Amino acid sequence: MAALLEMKGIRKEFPGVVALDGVDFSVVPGEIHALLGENGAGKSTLIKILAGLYTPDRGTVVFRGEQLNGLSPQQVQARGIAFIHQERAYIPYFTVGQTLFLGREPSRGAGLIDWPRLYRKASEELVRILGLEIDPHAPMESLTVSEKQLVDITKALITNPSLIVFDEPTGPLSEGEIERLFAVIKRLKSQGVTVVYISHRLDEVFQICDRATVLKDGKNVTTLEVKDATPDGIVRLMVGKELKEKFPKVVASIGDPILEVSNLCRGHVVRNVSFKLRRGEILGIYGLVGAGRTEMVRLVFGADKKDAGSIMVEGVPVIINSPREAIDQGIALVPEDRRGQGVIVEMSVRDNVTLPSLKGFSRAGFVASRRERAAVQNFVKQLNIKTPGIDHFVKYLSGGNQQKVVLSKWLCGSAKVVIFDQPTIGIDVGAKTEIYRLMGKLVSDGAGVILVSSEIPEVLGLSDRILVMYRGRITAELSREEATPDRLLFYAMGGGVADVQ
Amino acid sequence: MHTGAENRPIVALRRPLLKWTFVAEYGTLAAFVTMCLVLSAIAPGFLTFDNILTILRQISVLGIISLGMTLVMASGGIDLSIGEALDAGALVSISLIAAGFGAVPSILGGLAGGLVIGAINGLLVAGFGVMPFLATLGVHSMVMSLEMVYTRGGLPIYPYGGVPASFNFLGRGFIGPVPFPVVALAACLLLFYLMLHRLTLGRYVYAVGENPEASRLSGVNVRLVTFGSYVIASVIAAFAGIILASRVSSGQPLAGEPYLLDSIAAVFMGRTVSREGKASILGSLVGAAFLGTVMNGMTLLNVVFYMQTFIKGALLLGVLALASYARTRRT
Ligand SMILES: Nc1ncnc2c1ncn2[C@@H]1O[C@H](COP(=O)(O)OP(=O)(O)OP(=O)(O)O)[C@@H](O)[C@H]1O
Ligand SMILES: [Mg+2]
Repeated sequence: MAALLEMKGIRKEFPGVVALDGVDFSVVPGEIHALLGENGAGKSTLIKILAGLYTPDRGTVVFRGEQLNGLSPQQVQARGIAFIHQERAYIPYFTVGQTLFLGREPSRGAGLIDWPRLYRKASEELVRILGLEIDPHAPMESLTVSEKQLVDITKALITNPSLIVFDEPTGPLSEGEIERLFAVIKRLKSQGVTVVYISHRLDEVFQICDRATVLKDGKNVTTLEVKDATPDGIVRLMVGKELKEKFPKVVASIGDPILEVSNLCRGHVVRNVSFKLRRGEILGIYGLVGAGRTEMVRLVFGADKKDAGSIMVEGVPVIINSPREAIDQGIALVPEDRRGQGVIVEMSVRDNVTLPSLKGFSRAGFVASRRERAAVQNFVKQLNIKTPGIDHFVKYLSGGNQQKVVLSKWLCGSAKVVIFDQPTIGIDVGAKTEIYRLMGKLVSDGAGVILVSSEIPEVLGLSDRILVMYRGRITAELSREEATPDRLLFYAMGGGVADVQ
Repeated sequence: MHTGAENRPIVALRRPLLKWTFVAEYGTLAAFVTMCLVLSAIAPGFLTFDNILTILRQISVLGIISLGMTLVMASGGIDLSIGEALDAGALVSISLIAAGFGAVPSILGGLAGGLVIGAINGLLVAGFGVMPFLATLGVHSMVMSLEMVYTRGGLPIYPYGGVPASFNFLGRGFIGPVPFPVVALAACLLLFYLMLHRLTLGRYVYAVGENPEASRLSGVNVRLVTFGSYVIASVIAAFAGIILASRVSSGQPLAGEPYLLDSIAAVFMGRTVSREGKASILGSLVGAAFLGTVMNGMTLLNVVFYMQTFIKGALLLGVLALASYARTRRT
């Protein structure tokens, strides 16, 4: 079959990095084609070249027989290609409706926007495309991360493109939302739409993709039929070696409570939450998106104001009204929103990693550079952060590598309680295992870990104990032995609430 | 090597990357050096020891103020009342001298004047969350009006009882062949360089300037850092004002006004010097030196007075346009 999209010999060099080195990528009409590779392999760069956001140093892009090199992003989109980029940008105070129709607002003529029609169409499209019940008048900044993502997807699909590129669309989505998205993708496929799909979740690839192209270090490894492949085989191609354990569970000896939270409340989002975390324990917190998990851990960390509730660290009541106070008590939070809250993209890897613990790297207010550099170098090596140097700005790193910078930030201090909010979103399989190992190391060193995650295998594979949240409350507590995927889902969807209350 | 036939590019696109990267990173410095070379060739007496000291003395006040502006802008704000902080330093110190106080209490009084203005700015921005532009604009117009009331419509303040020699020294003294204001500039430069680029405080300032929320979640006291930036900036501006007052042995109301735009220009120009486009101490020094050298050169060349600011503006825009364009062409 003639290719719909043919990218040939693509090379792209950034100062200090060759992101793509002669990559070929060919997509045939009607297929769902996965683009796979480790963090920093060059997937997003390839997509941005297709989108006209970057100019390749070499190589051609041909779509439906027409050469796209040199076209602007608008011109590329006008040819029927839509993108859901990994790093989403939106205008915080724009409403959902304005965002959806940005640049193609329905007009009354004379440049006047037909607002009633815009909002009517916005609600229709939200429902039609993904079955979303989001108020089109709501400002973007009031939406949750997953809602923003769904709006972004809707926006791409409104134009009825013939090729859609998803760059890690499922990161912030819940299982239910992923199901819905896949149903949509399958429907699109049956209508003859072609899809390029980037994800670090291989189960997704096996669920929906027909073929897969694997990149490594900016070069092609292979293109294969998904039905002939196995997950382990693909991992081997991506990583270049065998991965032994997926969830290296460290069983540490569990000691005294290190964190005790009682009756934590904030409006309707967090209601009367109490729990204990022990030394050496990984406490999983599962729930659907919107269950209040992020909000709850933010209260523990002092990031938001709590209405009520008390916290004890190592048996001593403490007052935590700001992140600084939490950090001083030895509590760390790896936040969910990487670019907004996790890293400062306009600063270097080094500046980011040591920001929370900078005092420990200083004498009389002066930064002790040598010690600081050594510590940061160490994390770069340990987590395999792909960067030409520690003074490189974080904005130049690939998405997954930025996430590793966030993790290093919090592992760099000497936290007794480390809260991970969705730590492995956008992280490749190899690095995931590395992060799980680090959690294991934390607990065997006597710290306590709270793992908030929407990925059931991750929660089940790592936690010693699991709390399930539903609508701001803890609805179940399950031991490692009791927990099963069905049970987690049952409680996460509000099952058994009556017998808890 | 990628010249082998198997790697033959299908379309070899031109790669102006290197050239533009160079312009983006070194364009402003190159422009500055070029200008100095041209001036030494055409302006009589430009490249002499005395003239270079003159330039340095002329830029000392602007240089010191630009340091404060750099700090505030690095922390994500702007200080439109920086000229009034300078005035506060000048008017308060010279009034105290006129009232018969000694040099030390007068200097401290002048600095305190700056501190009050900085604290009000800091309180408005960090405490109440007013946008920096508006907060400092408000303070700017209020203090300007107070100055006019205090000086009864803009009459300069002269200390008729004479100025103590130690106060005189600040603006007119020499250490060896070097005028004291130049020494003061050098000392402030060092201080601010250490503060912004070597101390933990500087790291926090940039972090807050780039992403206050991520900084807060990293345990940075965002409000304190913001507040501190405004206070330090105003105090250093007041110090510049004291030097100016000593130079002219009087308190001139609204003397600080012209420094506002020049200091902002110096910081912006300095940002084009730094690789990632950030406000930096050395960058701002280059910016201030650029502006000072332009003015000096035009005086030497006897350019008509009213054309001088036109030429300064044109050169400034030229450099900024080139550097900004180079940046967009970089990737
Ligand atoms: N604008 C840029 N400037 C400099 N380097 C860049 C830039 N964009 C990407 N890179 C570098 O190019 C390489 C490839 O990055 P890319 O974002 O394409 O990776 P990726 O495969 O999408 O990874 P991930 O799974 O983490 O999203 C990385 O080493 C990255 O640091
Ligand atoms: Mg990517």
